[in-house]
Amino acid sequence: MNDFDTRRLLCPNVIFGITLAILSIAFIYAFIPAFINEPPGLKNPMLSPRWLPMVMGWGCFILSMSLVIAEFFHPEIAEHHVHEKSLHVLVLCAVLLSYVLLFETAGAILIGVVATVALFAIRSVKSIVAYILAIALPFVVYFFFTTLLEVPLPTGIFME
Amino acid sequence: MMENFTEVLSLFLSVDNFIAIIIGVVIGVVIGAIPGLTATMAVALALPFTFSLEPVTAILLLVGIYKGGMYGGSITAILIKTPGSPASACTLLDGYPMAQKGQATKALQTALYSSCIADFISNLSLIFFASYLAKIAMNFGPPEFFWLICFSLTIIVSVSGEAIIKGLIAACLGIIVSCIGLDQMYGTERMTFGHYDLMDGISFVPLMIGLFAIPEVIDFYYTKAQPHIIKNVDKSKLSLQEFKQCLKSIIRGSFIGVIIGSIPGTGATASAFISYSEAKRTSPRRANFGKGEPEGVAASEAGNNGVAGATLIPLLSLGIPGDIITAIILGAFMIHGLTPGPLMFQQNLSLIYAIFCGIMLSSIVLFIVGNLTIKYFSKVSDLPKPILLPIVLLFCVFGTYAVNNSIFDIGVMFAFGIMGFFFAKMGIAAAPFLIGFILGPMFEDNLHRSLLISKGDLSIFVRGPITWFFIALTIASLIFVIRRWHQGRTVNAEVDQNLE
Amino acid sequence: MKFWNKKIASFIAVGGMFAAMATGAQADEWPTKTVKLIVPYAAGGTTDITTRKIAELLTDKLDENIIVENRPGAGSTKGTSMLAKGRGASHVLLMASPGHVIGPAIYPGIDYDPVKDFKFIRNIIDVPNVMVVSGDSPYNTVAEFIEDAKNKEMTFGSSGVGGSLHMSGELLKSMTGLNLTHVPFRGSGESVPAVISGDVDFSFENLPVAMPHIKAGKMKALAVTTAERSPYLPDVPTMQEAGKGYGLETFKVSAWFGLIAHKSFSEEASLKMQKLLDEVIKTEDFKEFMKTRGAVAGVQAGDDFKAFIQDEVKKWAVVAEKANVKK
Repeated sequence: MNDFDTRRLLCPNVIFGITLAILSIAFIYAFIPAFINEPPGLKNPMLSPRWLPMVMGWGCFILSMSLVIAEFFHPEIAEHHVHEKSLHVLVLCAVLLSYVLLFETAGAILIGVVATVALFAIRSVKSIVAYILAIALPFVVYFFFTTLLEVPLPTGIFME
Repeated sequence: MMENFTEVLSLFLSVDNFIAIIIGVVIGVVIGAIPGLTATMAVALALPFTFSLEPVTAILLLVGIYKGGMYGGSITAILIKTPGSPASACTLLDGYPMAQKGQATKALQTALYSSCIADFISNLSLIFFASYLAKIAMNFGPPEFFWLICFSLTIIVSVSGEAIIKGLIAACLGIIVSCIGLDQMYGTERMTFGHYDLMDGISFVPLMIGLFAIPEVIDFYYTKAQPHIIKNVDKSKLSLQEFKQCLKSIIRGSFIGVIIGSIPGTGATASAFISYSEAKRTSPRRANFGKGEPEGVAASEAGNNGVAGATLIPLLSLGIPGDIITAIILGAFMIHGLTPGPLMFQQNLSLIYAIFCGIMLSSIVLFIVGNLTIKYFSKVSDLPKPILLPIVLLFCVFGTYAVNNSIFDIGVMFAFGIMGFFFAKMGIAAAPFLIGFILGPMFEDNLHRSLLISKGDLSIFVRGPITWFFIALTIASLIFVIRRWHQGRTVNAEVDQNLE
Repeated sequence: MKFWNKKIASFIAVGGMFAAMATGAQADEWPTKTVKLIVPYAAGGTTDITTRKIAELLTDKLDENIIVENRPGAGSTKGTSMLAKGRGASHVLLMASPGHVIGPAIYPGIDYDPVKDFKFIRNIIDVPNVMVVSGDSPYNTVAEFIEDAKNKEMTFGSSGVGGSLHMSGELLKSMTGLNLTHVPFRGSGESVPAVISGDVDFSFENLPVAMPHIKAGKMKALAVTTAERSPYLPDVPTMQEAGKGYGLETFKVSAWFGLIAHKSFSEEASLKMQKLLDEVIKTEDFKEFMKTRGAVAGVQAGDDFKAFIQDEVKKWAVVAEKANVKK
């Protein structure tokens, strides 16, 4: 058997397992009673709307504990592969957020163009053709959806 | 008979029908290939256009779209890890890794050939075995369903990759997420927080796109930019030998699709996953599954296309739609004053045979259209990622919004995208989450229905041969899983000892 | 002149400043822009098909385009809530159905009043529900069924909790006091086989769905739920006839489909729409359509329609409460 190694406590599987186990208990004892009502006069506990979430909550708890235990018996300690991280992910977050927040008010085309151009720019796309594409494509897709498929998309502030 | 024959031909052999099939298949492939837009939606949108067509032409247009859409969904699944329709979610498990290796053409070919073969087998079953399969379908009540779902849940293990415990965790989480919304029994709220958009639960399409496509985008911007390396790509096409290796899985998948398709209410997604898991279980190259194995693509596509013809079985022979698409096709029949069912076989036999001819033809048209387009579609994977991914994101957003006209769905897609990214970083497979999400409600529904019908008597779960069959299958599958897992462990232990 | 009116109106809209200003401003010329019909259900269902048929027939009669938009969710309440908020209300109509009156009794947190927040244009079609049992079932009449059900628990299927089919069953339960257990399915594709195979004792189904199975002898129709017999099943009694003596004399349910609009929708436009719909309903094309859906033309318009809705809302609130379908 391996000697106890404190490094094991910091391995992602252990952290994940313990966090999930705590969350499962919170889910079972706090979340389910608060957010799932049980109708009166149940004939069978299995018919309760709480039954399946409850079973799955316990499933998560047991599985996450076994994940932690399995990690301690694992012959080798998992190594972290650290990739170099990039701040570009912040721009991506801004793009995702603006898709959610501005899609209906600013309109599908405008937000589509801005988002695509921004994502091109941070990864230093140089080709002019790509930028033309970034501007043209939202228009093309928009009209493809709205006129050919008759699926409405938000027009936003430029058209009404 | 001879009279019938000429009547069938006169109904079938019209230019309109041919045009309808070709247009239908093309529309289906295109719409199926757009993330978010599914075959279901394409059929629903095309329905009003069929009001003014001849009945046979109208039905064939819709069937063409349906079949095209089933294949179209796999194109984006393979190329950009974005399943165009739910049923192709399984195809990306091996299709996308293949495309990453530069084998996009090969993956698309595999998908097309297996789709067409499965389609063909499915059509033949529709024509020759409809009445038998319909009988089985009618004997499929809630307890039978319950065991079918239990059996299907065992496939979670085979799509979990190396980390089985994590896969099971993902499945549990998927089932929990599927519980969000109004309860099917009493209409009580479950985890909706009084939020309107959550009443109907999480929509399938945004969840699926979020889970698979968005993590790719996040990961690309999360890691530092690497110089664009053009890998030593292997642009080979599918060889005859590789095709032969897949053939067994294709045929097996087709029959799984036929059975699942003829039972109302299960659907192509489950069928694709069952077929994939069976292929993985029996294939000599099982270790390569999930890393870009053509047989995986073939099995999945055969499984979902095998459903296409078979879902028409309960529709035509019983008048019962098995899924939303066939419900819409039923609507098209009714618009033209026709009611599918046993009576239609007596009253409009020629019409049914004319439709059968058209359905057979649609498989061939799909094959031709598919082959013509592969060349162009496979170019997509040659685009450098800095250009490709923002465009993928654009399509995902537009398509997801269009499903329910809901901005909330875009939020859902991103939320599951972030979760999927976290899953990928933790080495948790996303497919079990999806399977849990799909099968969870079916499991619960059929458990509840069985208990209600039997008034609480548990003996309903062993009430007949079909239940016994699926119980045996479930147990066998579990034993198999445990044995393989055990074998895997002993092999690992030996390797470790040797290393020491 | 008209051309310029349109230009000016669209110019204002482009500025996006007074989106609501168009309301009533040029009612004599209504519509001044594209008319939108909202379907609060997914594409492909009965509501969707009916709306698209109406749109197709209305297009010839209006100067402006008509588009159909699906806004599904939470029964029909999500799409309806959108209408109630009143964006672009002057040119938006919604195809309401029983979900409009049952929804408020079932879904929690509805942010609109199903009567006060809307203007009621016209009920377009009525489709009866029919009470069916398996072809092998021992029951041939409602009376036989009820007599037997007095002594034991019976199950009934439906296409989903809170739909008009489920609520028909709950109405039967509350009016007769029988011990009936609801078994929910998802869609009639699953509930129909359950009745035919005898897994559930009976079920209410929409007439067009049940029709082929009744004709094929796989199902027996015991009663239709409307006040009058259906022309498509003239031999089947109504629930009111068949349930005489069992407290079902006032039993009446139908799946109706009618257009409603936001409360600020102008009276003139409403009258114009009523007139146009009257014409549309009388066309041969639409009659043919109704035949395929087992439907009869609706009659109520304007205030009559509103009164009908008011009664329905009250009725279902009581039934839902008794049925313990939670709000």
